Amino acid sequence: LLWMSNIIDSKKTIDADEDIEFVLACQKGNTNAFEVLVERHQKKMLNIAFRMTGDYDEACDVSQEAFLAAYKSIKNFKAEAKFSTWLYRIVVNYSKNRLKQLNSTAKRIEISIDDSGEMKTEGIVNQSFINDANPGTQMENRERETQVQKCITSLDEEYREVLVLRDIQGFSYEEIGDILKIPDGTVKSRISRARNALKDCLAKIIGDL
Amino acid sequence: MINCKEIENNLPLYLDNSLSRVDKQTVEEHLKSCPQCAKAFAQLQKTEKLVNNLTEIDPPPWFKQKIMAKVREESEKKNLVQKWFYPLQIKIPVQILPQYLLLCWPFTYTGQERASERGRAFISTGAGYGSPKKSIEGTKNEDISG
Repeated sequence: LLWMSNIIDSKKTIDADEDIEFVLACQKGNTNAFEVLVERHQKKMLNIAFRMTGDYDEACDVSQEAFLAAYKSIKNFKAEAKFSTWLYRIVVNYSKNRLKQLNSTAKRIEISIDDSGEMKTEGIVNQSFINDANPGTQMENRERETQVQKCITSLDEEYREVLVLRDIQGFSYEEIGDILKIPDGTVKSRISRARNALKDCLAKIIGDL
Repeated sequence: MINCKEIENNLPLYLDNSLSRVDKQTVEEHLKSCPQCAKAFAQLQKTEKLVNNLTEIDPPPWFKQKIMAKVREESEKKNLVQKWFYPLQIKIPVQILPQYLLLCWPFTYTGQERASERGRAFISTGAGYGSPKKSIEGTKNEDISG
């Protein structure tokens, strides 16, 4: 019975996975099928990497590397989880590795908040915000976005990843548990701490939230 | 009596309705009577709004092409390796080999036994040096007839 239920469960996963047809084609050597998968997931992959690293160029590099890694090991994908879950796990891990590299080479954005609440940023500055020079309200919004991103980047890695996946990408607790391979309780406690830490950081920079 | 620290831990989950019914009621009751926690909750709501309003970034126009160029390069590399190191694309299931050995073994055994018997007969009749061709032909005929 257990064996039967396992088969049914895995069949449900396969049926629910809209990517599986293209994944199977890729596994048979059809390179063009991978293009469909890139088209479908490129934006989400890039946005996850961007919110994790805080830098547009780094995010482009990381998500490209993640796609290539996914292609190289697509034959190992067993359809036990959704393809997108597997793919997003790769980009999260690649983003974390990149952050470690940047840390070791001291290129990472260094945020320090002094007693007066003023933020000093050194190193890489967000490219996408520099390129847009919109006047008035848009400018204010961009500034606010930069502040929020800086606070996200200042969070510990384990809090940053759950915050990005839940509050920015909108994944469910269950999906986050699958992507990060952590239990549901851990997801909840990390989200709770991440939100409180982000609130404290923003309150310090912006003042009255 | 619930203290503010416990409520503070639950407030972020209360925000997206992830608390149990009991915890939710406890938080709601506490917020009514604690201005400090009520302020923290209001700040969390504003933080959530700021995060939700973050603009999604778009991939650069060359993004997909660059990925696919690398993917195709990788695919060609893989094909080249297969062509050079695995030129014969014949797939023989692993189970076939032991099955083949099991099936062939009795015949091989009887064949060997017969051959040794024939050898013994060959020596005892004294044939050989005088008429080797005849004896070989005879063996051949015996084999064919079974």
